[in-house]
Amino acid sequence: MTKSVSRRDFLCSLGGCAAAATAVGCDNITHSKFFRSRFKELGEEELERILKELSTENQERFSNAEAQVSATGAQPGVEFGYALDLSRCTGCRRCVHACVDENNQGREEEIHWIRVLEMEEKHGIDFHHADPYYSPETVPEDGKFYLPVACQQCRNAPCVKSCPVGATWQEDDGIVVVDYDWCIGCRCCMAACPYGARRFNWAEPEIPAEDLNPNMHYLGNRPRPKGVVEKCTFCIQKTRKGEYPACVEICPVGSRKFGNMLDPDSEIRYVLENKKVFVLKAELNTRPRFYYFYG
Amino acid sequence: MKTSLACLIFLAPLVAGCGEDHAEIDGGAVFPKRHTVGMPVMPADAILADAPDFKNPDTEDCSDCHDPDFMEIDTEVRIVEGDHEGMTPFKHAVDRIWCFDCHDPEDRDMLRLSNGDLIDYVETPRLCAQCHGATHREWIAGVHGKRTGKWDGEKTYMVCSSCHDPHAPLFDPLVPEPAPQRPEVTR
Repeated sequence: MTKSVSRRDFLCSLGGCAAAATAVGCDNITHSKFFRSRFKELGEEELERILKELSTENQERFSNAEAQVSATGAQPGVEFGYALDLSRCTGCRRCVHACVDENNQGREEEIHWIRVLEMEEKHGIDFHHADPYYSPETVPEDGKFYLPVACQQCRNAPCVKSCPVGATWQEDDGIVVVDYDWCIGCRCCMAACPYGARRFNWAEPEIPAEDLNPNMHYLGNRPRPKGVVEKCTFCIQKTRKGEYPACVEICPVGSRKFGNMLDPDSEIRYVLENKKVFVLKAELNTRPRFYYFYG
Repeated sequence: MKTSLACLIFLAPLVAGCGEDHAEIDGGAVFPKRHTVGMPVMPADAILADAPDFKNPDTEDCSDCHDPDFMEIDTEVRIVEGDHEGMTPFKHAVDRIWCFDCHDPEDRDMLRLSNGDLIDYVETPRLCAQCHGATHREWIAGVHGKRTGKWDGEKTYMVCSSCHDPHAPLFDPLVPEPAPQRPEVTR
């Protein structure tokens, strides 16, 4: 009697052979990267080793001894919320560039996590006629208003649902994160996001060594490889340590509010309880944690 | 008869209360429960940001020129016109306020509240709150203005004059940072 081999077993062993063949000849780091578990299943020791490897890799690549990649977890009892006062935003784009400096985006590729949309006052919020490329001599311009859009950190996030490999998920404090080492670059999440908040690294991100922000988070601003998707993480490397995100700290008109929605004394709670807030594209039931209001 | 019936119908809700859930706090004041009760309170560990010094940059203090011994104090209320040395042209409710609504005529290095108390230049929120009460309340709550530091701990509060020039409080237009490149240019 010949033992029948199922199609599934055959394909599995074929895949195993291919993976093994690929890994032969690779150095240890590549090997461990390739065969490691997904982020949430990593043991304490394995995570520590990976973080150490990543830190060393970036220290060498950017000749910066201070480069450190951490993986600080969510604080218990914290759910982040963000509110933006549209009546104050002047469209100066300080937030866009502070974000790039903080989060190590590719400079050549011009990856911006925040996009400021210029809109006509007489038309109200109208995405079809919004202009992100405005560049008058000074802002704000008469008859225009400005609506900055970044990741809305949805509670019911379409990007998370659309990822075929589970490389993007929602953390306990509400931040939607991407594991750049697990992302296969299929861009399903980008197609699913109704806010256009995700960016794709078409090329290896170029960051001048002196511009590197050495304070890095595994799920946030560590330099990304080519071919993966990235987006706003509420500056996870800062906010998990209790600091405000970079865009909040730079805003010259104080239109950006951030904090813990579960803390009744936080400014974000004051906004949610006392202002008429709204979310973008509410009809899609994405339930964002990013609110807009007119102060 | 009809009129009195109509009155009764309209007045009934007022007598019976508005139907919302109310909370009674100390002192008997009644507020609807769904709103934040009372004034927001500034935490004791709040740090106030340094405010720019609007005193004349060429001299040490305002009192160097405005010394009561050398310069007569003219307290006749008038509309502030013309340029004052080292000061932004006055554009702050010009027809309603003037110098001594905020500055102390006797001691030019101090600001004066309407109750006569003298305060230092860095304590502008107390002075500005006299007119801008609602804005001041929102500033304490963290909605108006900006805070830096930690969302769950020590933070620095920008004070009124950190951002606004008290003599011309409207913001000047800003030069925007560069626009993103169009995809057809980068690819």
